[in-house]
Amino acid sequence: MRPIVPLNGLFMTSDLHLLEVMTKVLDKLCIKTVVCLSAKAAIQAARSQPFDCAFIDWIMNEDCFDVMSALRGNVRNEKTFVMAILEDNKNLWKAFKASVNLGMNKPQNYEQAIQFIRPTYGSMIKPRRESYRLPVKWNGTIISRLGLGKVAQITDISETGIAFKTSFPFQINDTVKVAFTIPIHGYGKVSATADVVCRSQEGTVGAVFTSIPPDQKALINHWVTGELHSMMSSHAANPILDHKLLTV
Amino acid sequence: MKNLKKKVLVIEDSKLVLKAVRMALEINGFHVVTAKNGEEGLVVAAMEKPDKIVMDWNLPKLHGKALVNQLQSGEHTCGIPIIVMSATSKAELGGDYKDVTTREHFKKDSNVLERLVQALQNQVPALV
Repeated sequence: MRPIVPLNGLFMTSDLHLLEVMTKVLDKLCIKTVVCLSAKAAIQAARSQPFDCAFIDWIMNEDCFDVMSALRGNVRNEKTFVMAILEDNKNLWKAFKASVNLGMNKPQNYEQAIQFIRPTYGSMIKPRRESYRLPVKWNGTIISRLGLGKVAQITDISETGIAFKTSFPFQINDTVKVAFTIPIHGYGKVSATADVVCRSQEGTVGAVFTSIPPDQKALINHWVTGELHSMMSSHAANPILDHKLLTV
Repeated sequence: MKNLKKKVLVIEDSKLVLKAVRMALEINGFHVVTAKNGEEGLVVAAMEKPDKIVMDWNLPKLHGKALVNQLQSGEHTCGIPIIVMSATSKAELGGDYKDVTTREHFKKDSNVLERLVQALQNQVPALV
């Protein structure tokens, strides 16, 4: 399971003023960054590690194309949210063609940068939010295909499924009905169908939702997002980020 | 054994920019000493007597102009050439900069490190 905070970022630039401005933004948003002072360093980093977001100072089209190609060529970076930082709009379409998600004009100061980048935070975190499993300790009921109900302890929840501990010998590909209550004010009951996708020797079962009413899915998404934001805020209040710097 | 590398003092408050300048200079054979604000820069300059000083303009504790003036009037630091780096150009710094008699100024824009290294190599050849 990947830790949720801080996010991992890639930043390529040879502009020291931009580096100064962006460092403050990255610290504020709790993005631990590999800073690359050359395209060669950025290509190496893009090929070798996963990133939630990337910021490319779009100076030389060819260099930036190579970096984007290395990034998207790494299966772990297919969904990375990439922002091109441009001097003007001349190269914006070239950047989009290279599968950049968003272009921004080069910020002159922290205020300009944070004003533009902060609203994109949801997009940066989206892939991780979709796959992240939050540890919980909830009681739930799991009903097998044969109609046998079992009380189980739900140990993890994500937007796409749950994990629970049970003594019942569920098998992979079994379809189960799950019922549990999310601890929120109001109506937090969830009742869904799920397929068992994994089972550990200790009796923990992983199941992916296959059928869930839209309002209940929205409830789970809302709860997961809220929990993540609360974790982010508490971490961002006291960030200790050691950005890595690559020159080669 | 005496260190034959030419010594450059870098005064910069941004930790990451300082790290970037330091790495660029060290890769190119310079011995780098650092300071993270104006006051510290003044002390380190007097103690280390570098061959050249590279400094940010907007520094905490002692601002660029005051620092340059004190370095140029200091007993141990008056002869040391100074390179100023700033977010804006020399012209944009305007009045604040007009009485300052540093020979070189670099805007912190794209590829500034390459230009800085080139300038240092041209004027302070590293003996390595």
